[in-house]
Amino acid sequence: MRFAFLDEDAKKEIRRATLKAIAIPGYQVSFASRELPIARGWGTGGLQVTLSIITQKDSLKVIDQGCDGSVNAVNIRNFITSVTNVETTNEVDKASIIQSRHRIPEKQMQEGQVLVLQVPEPEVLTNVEANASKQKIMHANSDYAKLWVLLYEDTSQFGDSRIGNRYPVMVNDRYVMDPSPIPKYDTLNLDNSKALVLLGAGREKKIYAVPPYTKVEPLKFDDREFKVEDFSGQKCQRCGASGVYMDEVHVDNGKTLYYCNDTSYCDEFLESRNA
Amino acid sequence: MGYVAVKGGEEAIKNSLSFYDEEFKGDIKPKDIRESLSFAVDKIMSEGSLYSKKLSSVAIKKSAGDLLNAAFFLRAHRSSCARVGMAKTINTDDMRIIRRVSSAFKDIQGGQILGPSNDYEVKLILKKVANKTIWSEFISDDIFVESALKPLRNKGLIKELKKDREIADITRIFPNSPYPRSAVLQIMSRGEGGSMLAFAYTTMRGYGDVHPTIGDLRIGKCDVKFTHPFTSKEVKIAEIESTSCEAVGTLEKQEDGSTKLTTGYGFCFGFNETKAISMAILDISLYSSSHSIGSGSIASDFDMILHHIDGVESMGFTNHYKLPHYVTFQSNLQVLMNAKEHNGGEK
Amino acid sequence: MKREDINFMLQKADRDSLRDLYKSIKNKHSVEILQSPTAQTLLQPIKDPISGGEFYAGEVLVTTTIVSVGDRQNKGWAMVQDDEEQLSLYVSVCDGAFGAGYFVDEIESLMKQTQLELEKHQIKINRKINSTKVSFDLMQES
Repeated sequence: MRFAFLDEDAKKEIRRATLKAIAIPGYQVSFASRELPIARGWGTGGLQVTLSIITQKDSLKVIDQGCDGSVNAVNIRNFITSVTNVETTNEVDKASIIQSRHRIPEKQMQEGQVLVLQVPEPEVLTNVEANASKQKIMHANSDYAKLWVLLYEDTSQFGDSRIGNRYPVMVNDRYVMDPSPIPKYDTLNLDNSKALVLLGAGREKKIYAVPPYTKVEPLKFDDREFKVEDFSGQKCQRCGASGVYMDEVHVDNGKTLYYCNDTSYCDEFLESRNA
Repeated sequence: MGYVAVKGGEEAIKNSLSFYDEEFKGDIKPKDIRESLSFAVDKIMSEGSLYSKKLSSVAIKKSAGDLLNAAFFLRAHRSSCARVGMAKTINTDDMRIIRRVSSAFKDIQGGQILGPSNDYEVKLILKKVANKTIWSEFISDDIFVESALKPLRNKGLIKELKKDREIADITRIFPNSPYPRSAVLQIMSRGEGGSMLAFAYTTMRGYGDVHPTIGDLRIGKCDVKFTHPFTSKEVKIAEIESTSCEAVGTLEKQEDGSTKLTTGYGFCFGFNETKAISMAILDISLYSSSHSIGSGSIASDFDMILHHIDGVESMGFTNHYKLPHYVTFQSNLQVLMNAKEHNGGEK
Repeated sequence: MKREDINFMLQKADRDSLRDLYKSIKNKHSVEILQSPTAQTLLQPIKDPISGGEFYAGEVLVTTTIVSVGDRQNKGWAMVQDDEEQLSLYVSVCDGAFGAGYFVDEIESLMKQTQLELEKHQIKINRKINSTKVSFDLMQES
């Protein structure tokens, strides 16, 4: 099998799209998304980005829902290693490429690292404008009035936006971008990120990027607070950490327990406590 | 209560696949699938966008008859084969005909040829029929005949569309709107039959205004030709079975003031008349909607059609909801709780 | 029979006869495989009658082989339909031999024999197809 599955022409094309995406932060660049032996909608966009940038020297971490051991993460990691033989790791610090679905690692990533996010629906405007040609024009004019109206309507009815995850963000004061279905908690970590963030949507055939040290702001009214998911007062039942994104687990006696969602963070925290 | 929420799936995935293999896959041979389930094989080739009866039947076996999955197998295989070049263009007027009907004209040049069809079979599942025809009584002439709409086209009665200067290839560049016609036809030619049928059906029932007449529907064999690398002359590589349909819509006033008939074209790999007819109707609906009187025609919207008829993509995405969504759902729940609080502490 | 007829005709030939012919060529002349049988695809354009333009309906799976027969200059090529490695190799060797002037009679004879079989088969199919022609004249007479 060819190194990293894709033929060299395909990789070259994806790298070009990626470079363009980095040059225009938040702008969705079309690319010739290949069909992979993994189903559309299961991370093929992120996977193509990873396969096109990965080299033999890289160290790879794959997470899904914050977990290295999740079924889909295991599946994707196995596929990538079967075609590249690269080293894999669970530790954020040791990874040069982290492919993730729905989460940004709790531990801050550093310069030189790449975070690849899998994106199901890259077009932030779809909910307010279904027509692709009109979306294109709206982006060109930086015309996000419809998103603001949606935000206004939600705020007046519910006190806040109804959007929980994949909260729209303004990138570099120019393009509004879908940050992939990460929770609002993670959205703030995109701002001024030291690591390069690449976002790939396979089915929708788009790649976009947040280069290091780029301004990323959630769309919000000046007089309203951007409320992220709140786990204050909760401690991880396993490692005792607090102030992180938590999984809620409802146990049989009706009680609700909390655990770190990011399992590698949980492991490290536990280790440092035991040390 | 262990910590392991989604961890440890690896072993389960492996076992689940073994279970699947033992439970769903019998001993049927791909050769039997090819010979007895030929319409299934054809459907997979056209949606998988790869003409290979052999691999198509293997895909049907591997997916235990789940045809959406089978087409996905074929598509994925296509990504691993290098593309060696472009064959000579096929013109369906040159097709070696096996079946050809026109509902527009009673008596057409070349005649109405029913070919192998069960259109007129009374669908009684338990009835046993033993029809035997003595074939030797019939003539053995070859049948090649141009489209029944050719005479109307030659007279200039049919609306022409602008031709693309370059052929688009959506597998390399997925175009933005306005979509080149060649891209539109390519997307439909590899589209999922059921999705296309549903959209085509909307145009006949008030969401649009297409009441088509089948001008020329044919199934048969077309030659695939390439250039011999050492003699530089044309070589026949293969014969492929295919279906084409030209449907007639209605009359339409043209920019130059003339009145012409609108038509639509459908083509797909293999024998699949429903798909070719659906494609021709969608073609009319997309390109000749100016006189539509229906209430909001769904199938005249290019974005609506072009982004929603690919079976491999729609199936993949619909099924991805089976993946864990704990993080996003958690986030949604918090939004719900905040909204309840906003509403005066609603319980 | 032209060299260009070999590729398609021999795909349809009786497989045992073709294998025997391949073996005879190989026994007499050195056969070198320059490109072993490889699955590839051919993009297939279709004419659009409405615009007069073309579009791609999909790709056709083929198996391609390049060999040399005897002299390295005498190259043979085959591009056969579907995933058929062995067939592709046999046909490419016949193509190379024919181009070099080896076994021409044997190759032609197998092609002619195949053509006869194909014609016989086509006649059978044609009778069936013609039997399904709707005859409006007949209906009027009755």
